[in-house]
Amino acid sequence: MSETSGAPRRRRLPATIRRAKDVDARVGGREVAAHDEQPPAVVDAHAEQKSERQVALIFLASAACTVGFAIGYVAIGLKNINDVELSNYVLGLTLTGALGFLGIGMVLWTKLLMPHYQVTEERHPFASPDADRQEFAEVFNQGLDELGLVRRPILRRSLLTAAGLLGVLPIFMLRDLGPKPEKTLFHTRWTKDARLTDIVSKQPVKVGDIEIGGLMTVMPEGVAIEDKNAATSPVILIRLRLGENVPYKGREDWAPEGYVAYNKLCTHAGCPIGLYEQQTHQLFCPCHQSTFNVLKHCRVVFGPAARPLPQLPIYIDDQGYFRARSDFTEPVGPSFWERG
Amino acid sequence: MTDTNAAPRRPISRRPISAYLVIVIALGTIGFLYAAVAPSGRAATSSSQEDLVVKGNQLFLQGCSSCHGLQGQGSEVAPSLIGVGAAAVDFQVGTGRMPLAERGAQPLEKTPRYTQADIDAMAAFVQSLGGGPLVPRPEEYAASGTTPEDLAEGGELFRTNCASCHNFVGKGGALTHGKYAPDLTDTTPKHVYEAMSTGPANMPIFGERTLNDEEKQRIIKYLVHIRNMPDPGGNSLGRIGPVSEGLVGWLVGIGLLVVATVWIGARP
Repeated sequence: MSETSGAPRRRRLPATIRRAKDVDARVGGREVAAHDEQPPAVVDAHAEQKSERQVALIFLASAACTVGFAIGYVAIGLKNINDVELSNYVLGLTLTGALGFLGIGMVLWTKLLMPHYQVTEERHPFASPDADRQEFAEVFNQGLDELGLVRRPILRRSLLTAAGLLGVLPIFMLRDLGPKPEKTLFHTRWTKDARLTDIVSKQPVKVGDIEIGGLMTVMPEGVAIEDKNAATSPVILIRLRLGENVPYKGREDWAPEGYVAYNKLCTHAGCPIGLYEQQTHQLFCPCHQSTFNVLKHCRVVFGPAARPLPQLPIYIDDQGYFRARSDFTEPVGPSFWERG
Repeated sequence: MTDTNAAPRRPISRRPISAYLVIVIALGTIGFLYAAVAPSGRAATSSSQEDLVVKGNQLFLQGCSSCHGLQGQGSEVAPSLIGVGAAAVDFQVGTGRMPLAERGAQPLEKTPRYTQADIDAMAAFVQSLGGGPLVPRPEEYAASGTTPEDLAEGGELFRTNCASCHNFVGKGGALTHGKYAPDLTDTTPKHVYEAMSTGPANMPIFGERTLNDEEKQRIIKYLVHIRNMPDPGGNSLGRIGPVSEGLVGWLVGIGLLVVATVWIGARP
């Protein structure tokens, strides 16, 4: 920039001038490109009139749409829901027309009826003149000297202390991100001997309530999904054919009579896993396609989940009801920092 | 009972004729009572039921047995039909999924190849193989007299049990490896009921004790209600939410803006 500041650069571009005769002058402070390479186009009065009519017609179309919008707004009473549909269409289309035709008319006006030529505008230098800069430096230094920031250390240090403390203050507000979940992440609402109840009907689930290849979403008895800390408790109870289940080591008695119970929260991002394919025995998470093999203790066969779904140890009591042996033996849901 | 209680260790030959007589009379009475009480319709149609099974067997041998086996025992390419019940036949053949047109991830819905009478016959035959869920009677699935409570409960049941695969308004969705949960917009209430009770393809089975008739009816009422709901917002774009709306917005909306910008800036 600065090396050419003495002699401003001037680019001469080939001009396309259609009708103006004397545009080779300064138009509104702008340098207008020379036009002598190309003679001005012959002005065709008939064509111009035709263009004028065309643009005017488009503006009138816009006006008609605006009137149509007003009529539609008044005329269509919203008595029932089907009127709403008609109203939406009429108002939407007329407003589109009103704004759209206005814009199209304006663009066509400039395209068909305005002269076309190119102008060059020079950028002014960004830096202030040397005299201004020198004056600013003098005023600034004088002010600094009069302030005595260097001469008065007590004031300087107390000011820095006050301003610094104010800067630290937002860190204290991070506390509002809490309270910390403490132990709630490690437990669910399942307790020893809690009966498995249907999440909707709240009825305790008995052996035989589920067909082979069927499933049920269950909660601990007396706990609703809306209750405090209950959101991680839903369990999906699936009935497999006898002998299909391949238990994890040490979990041989967790799946009585082919019924297996797994936590419904995906171990990736905590979405509810509800897609069960009864032929492939896969549970499928709708959020990121993590897929779990139900026959093999819900280990991950595909997707971003890092761990198998936690299994709920269950047993069948004397009356045939399912009960939990205990809470989950590991934290449920997605990973978290303190999980280890 | 009283006889044996009164004389527990007496040999039975003590009063042989009277004992036999009591048994004969008791059995006869029970038989007559049963004949009187038992539903007359079923008794009257038992012979036509047999005919139906015979006709169904013939149709089965022609159309189904090459894959499902001569006795419906299944084969390497097709599952056993023993115990799947009449409802499964009515669903699979009634929605055109069976007979299979081509092997794929799952049977596709198409125009049924059999008349309802033929389907009923095949259903009766498969039912005779080993029981299973029966074709529901209209009063079991009909969605009449819908109350707000039905819709609230049906909606909750649908969202708990069905929505994870079929979408919250029953528009269906993708499963793994090319399989999918079908759109339920045009599925008849009977077929919805049968699908729940038989669990076709990868759908879990929701038997009578998992979802009883009333709960199934409420789910059907909810489905019928939302499919008849007016949708005045213009084109619904599949009603599958922000994915299709965003796609149309980006492609059509921004595309139009780019075209308009190019037109405004174009040299004459």
